[in-house]
Amino acid sequence: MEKSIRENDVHPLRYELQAHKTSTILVLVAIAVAAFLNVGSRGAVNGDPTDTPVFYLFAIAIAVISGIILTRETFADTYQVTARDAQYAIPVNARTRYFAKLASILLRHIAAIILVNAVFIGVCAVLNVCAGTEIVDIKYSVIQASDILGFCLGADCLTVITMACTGTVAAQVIFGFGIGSVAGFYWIYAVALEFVDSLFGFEGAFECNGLIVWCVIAPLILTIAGGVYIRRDGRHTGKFIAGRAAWEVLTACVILFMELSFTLSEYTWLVMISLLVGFFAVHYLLFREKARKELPFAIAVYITITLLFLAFALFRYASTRGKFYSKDRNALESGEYWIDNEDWNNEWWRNARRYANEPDCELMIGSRILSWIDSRSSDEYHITNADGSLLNEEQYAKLVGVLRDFCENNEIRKDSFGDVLAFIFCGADSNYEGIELGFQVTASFGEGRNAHRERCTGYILYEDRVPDFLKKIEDAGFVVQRAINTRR
Amino acid sequence: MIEVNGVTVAYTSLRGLRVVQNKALDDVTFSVPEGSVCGLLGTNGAGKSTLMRTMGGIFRPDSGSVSIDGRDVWDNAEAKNDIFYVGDEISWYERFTVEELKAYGRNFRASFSDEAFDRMINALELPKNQKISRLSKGMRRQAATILGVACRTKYLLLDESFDGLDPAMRRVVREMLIDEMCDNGASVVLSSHNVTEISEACDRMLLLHAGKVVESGEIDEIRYKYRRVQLVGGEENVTREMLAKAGLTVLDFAGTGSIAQAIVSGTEEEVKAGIAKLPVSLAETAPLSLEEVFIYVMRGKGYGKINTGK
Repeated sequence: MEKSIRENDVHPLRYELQAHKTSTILVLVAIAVAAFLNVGSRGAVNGDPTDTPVFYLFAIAIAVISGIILTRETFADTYQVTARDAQYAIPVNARTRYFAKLASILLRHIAAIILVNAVFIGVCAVLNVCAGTEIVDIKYSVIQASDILGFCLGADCLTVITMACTGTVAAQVIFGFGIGSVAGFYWIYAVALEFVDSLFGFEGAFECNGLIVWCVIAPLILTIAGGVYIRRDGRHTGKFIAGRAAWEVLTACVILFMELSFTLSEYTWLVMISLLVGFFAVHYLLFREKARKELPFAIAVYITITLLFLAFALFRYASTRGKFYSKDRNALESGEYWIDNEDWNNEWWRNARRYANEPDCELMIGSRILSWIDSRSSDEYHITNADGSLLNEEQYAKLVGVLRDFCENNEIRKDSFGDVLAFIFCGADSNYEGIELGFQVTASFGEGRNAHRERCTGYILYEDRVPDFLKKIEDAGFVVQRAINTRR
Repeated sequence: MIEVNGVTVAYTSLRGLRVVQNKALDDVTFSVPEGSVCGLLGTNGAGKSTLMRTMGGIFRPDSGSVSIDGRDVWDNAEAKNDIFYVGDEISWYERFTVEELKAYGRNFRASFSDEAFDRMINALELPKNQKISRLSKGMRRQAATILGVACRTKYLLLDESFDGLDPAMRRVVREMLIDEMCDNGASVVLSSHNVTEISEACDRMLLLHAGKVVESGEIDEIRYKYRRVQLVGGEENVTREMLAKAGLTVLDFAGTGSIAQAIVSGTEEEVKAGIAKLPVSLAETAPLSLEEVFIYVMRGKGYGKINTGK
């Protein structure tokens, strides 16, 4: 008797799980290793916290890469003819197939990370209880695990949309890693952080901002990816279906971003040439058979981007010239180069830049942008006069002098001094007398505003100097006010 | 019934900034009635695999439609439930063992027959617990074909499925396939370069060249549409022009002195009527084999002529 389609209930999810058994096992092993590294990345010896950040970085890398490989395998029909023939021939429509693939990734990667990390952290909690001391920092491990989850969710989403749009492995790898790591985990993150923050308005209430951000973005990306995937027919396997132009623009954006990330210095030419080579490599991998025909087009795109960058750099230089840095620090401190300018939308920012930067006349275009993003996601301390007015030049000089003296008198490590300045002039990310400042010193970007604050505060508290610092500042006649994200 | 109506499928590619379209199928129309075995013949690059994939719901036609029992096949789970496509590339299945392949088939087709699968696997002595990737090319093909047959769908599309099989196994698999399909009353569309195979296994055929239908219909009808004519001239030698003047469509002509041989199209009656107008002392006609039809029809299209450049 002939069965209806309802009776002949097919199981695309079961099929996905069945078809990728080997890779599922490998991913589970990778996730277990990542979870192990995560719980091992921070422990305590005799009550003192001991960090092994490289463990955490490895954990992220392993979890993310395994997810990308799994996603690539799951969406093999977008680039592999035999996979396409087998999968398109099964009696399910494209929408069902897409959701089955997503469910499969969710189950085998995201859910597996949650489960495996929960098990590992649970075991560590039991060990802590048994040992009667905190062998593993449980709270820290949970936060790190949520960050890993956020990274994985983001990487998976970007890989899915890349494969749906481009259908090429090379594009997937480059796009996934390129856009994912550079733009995805920076621009999207920064913008989304603002969005989530304004949406929920939490301030320090929840630690796992990165995960929340990706939870908000992921459905949007996957909806778009689904729309594109469903439009694919078998002929699109291995080809762009949508957004060849978007791909070019995004590639161009990545290059522009990379250019902006570097300062204009004597190494600029090296950066430019590296980017040029990288750009051609991308084009060669993507459009191999047409690489020669694409070459003039690629050169034109690259030249346009670079001219755009130079124009932007020159514009910024012209509009802010004199306020940035001076070769002559004395001239800077005498206020000779100080010109008040409304373009610098924040007094604190301006002054932090003025005092915190190496006076070598580099055009810090890139750092300016990156710092802006950092500054959007961190706390700051307002130091004002008793009447609430902003400090003048002499007062700033005095303030820095107070801090410097304090550090020297208290034998505080030089890099801690950098942290202190960053702590106060939040967002400053350059040099002070060869000391690296900014959050790069103690916290990597991507951890969320609260993690930044916690890490930075924690670091200084570890030195047990913050109250003294603040008292010293107040003793000098200033008023310290803690503020969150006042730079809006 | 599978109905293909005016199907056009084009591949697009970018040349610089220009989008170039190459038509793989151009206004193809034909049908596969229920219970028939239809052969798909064509030159290299004629569009056989593209047509098979379009019928299997893998490609969406740019224009025209493919329907199965009145249901459009593209992205239609219900229609696809009645069809199974075994591609010319089967490496996707290589990740499974033969036994896992059975589970795979059972997962997607309620009509899947474990008994038929096991019977055919045993008959062909395929190792059940061995990864398909470790089997020989011919064995892999057998496994994929058995999967298709065991799914017991109403329509089975086999794209060059007998390639890689030795002649003996080719015959065994073909007979087994025909038996199974006859038992189930299913229809098969079989694409191949092997004309003999098509002529032995199929009752209908479609001949493709450069994406267009050259011939379609029952094999015997097609065979009888072309005839070989052997002529002995009378007072003057027979030429190609004389045949054309007599109203015969000449696909091929070879003459030596008063003896000539031509391949012409037309029914026996039409050909005989044409010959009657010729000044010949002796004339004989005979139908062509399918292979000869293929060769001469394609030669008539300018395909397969030897050009040594001399």
